[in-house]
Amino acid sequence: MKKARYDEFQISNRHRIGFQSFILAMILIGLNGYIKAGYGIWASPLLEAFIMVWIPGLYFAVMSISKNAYFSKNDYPIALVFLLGLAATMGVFSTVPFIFSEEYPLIENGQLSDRIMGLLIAIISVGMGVAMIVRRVLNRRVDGIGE
Amino acid sequence: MNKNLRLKAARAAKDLSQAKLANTVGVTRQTMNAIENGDYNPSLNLCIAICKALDLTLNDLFWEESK
Repeated sequence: MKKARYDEFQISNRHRIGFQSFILAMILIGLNGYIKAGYGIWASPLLEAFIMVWIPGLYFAVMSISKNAYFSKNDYPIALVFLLGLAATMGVFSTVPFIFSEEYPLIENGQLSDRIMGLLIAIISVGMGVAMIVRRVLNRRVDGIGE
Repeated sequence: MNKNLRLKAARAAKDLSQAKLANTVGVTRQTMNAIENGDYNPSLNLCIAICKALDLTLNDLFWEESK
């Protein structure tokens, strides 16, 4: 049998989670239109687009990690853990000091400020990191039980 | 879906772990676990690869007699 990048069970899981993410994106787009029509603009177009991608992206990443479908058999997650840690640190340091700042508020004129993107990047990085750690511990436990 | 106990028994008879068998047929251990637990229906190609790895036939491992 050919050594595929993802095996067939992983591919089927990724397809399922991808479809769920697509439905989530559709719901968010509809909700965004409804909110903008009813209550007005809540963020800049850049931040709005970022959040529309961020939520389904976070869902896809965390769900596929939890289903063992994020990494293929030959992947090395250590490099990604390092990058996620770096992104989380940068995101936190670029956002958290300004949460209570009056000079650079995260909400200004009734809209979310673009500065909140750093916090969102930190949240997705930490979320993926925690999901990877939990998955790894569970896998080790199953391996340890003996087959 | 029912558990595939025949696959589990055949693997144990060959003294193979799930990880070793999975490595032989080119899938992850979790996939092999899902097949044994009846959580996933493998493709025909994968069934054949498993049968070859265990020196058995499709009938031996995957055929279910009607009740």
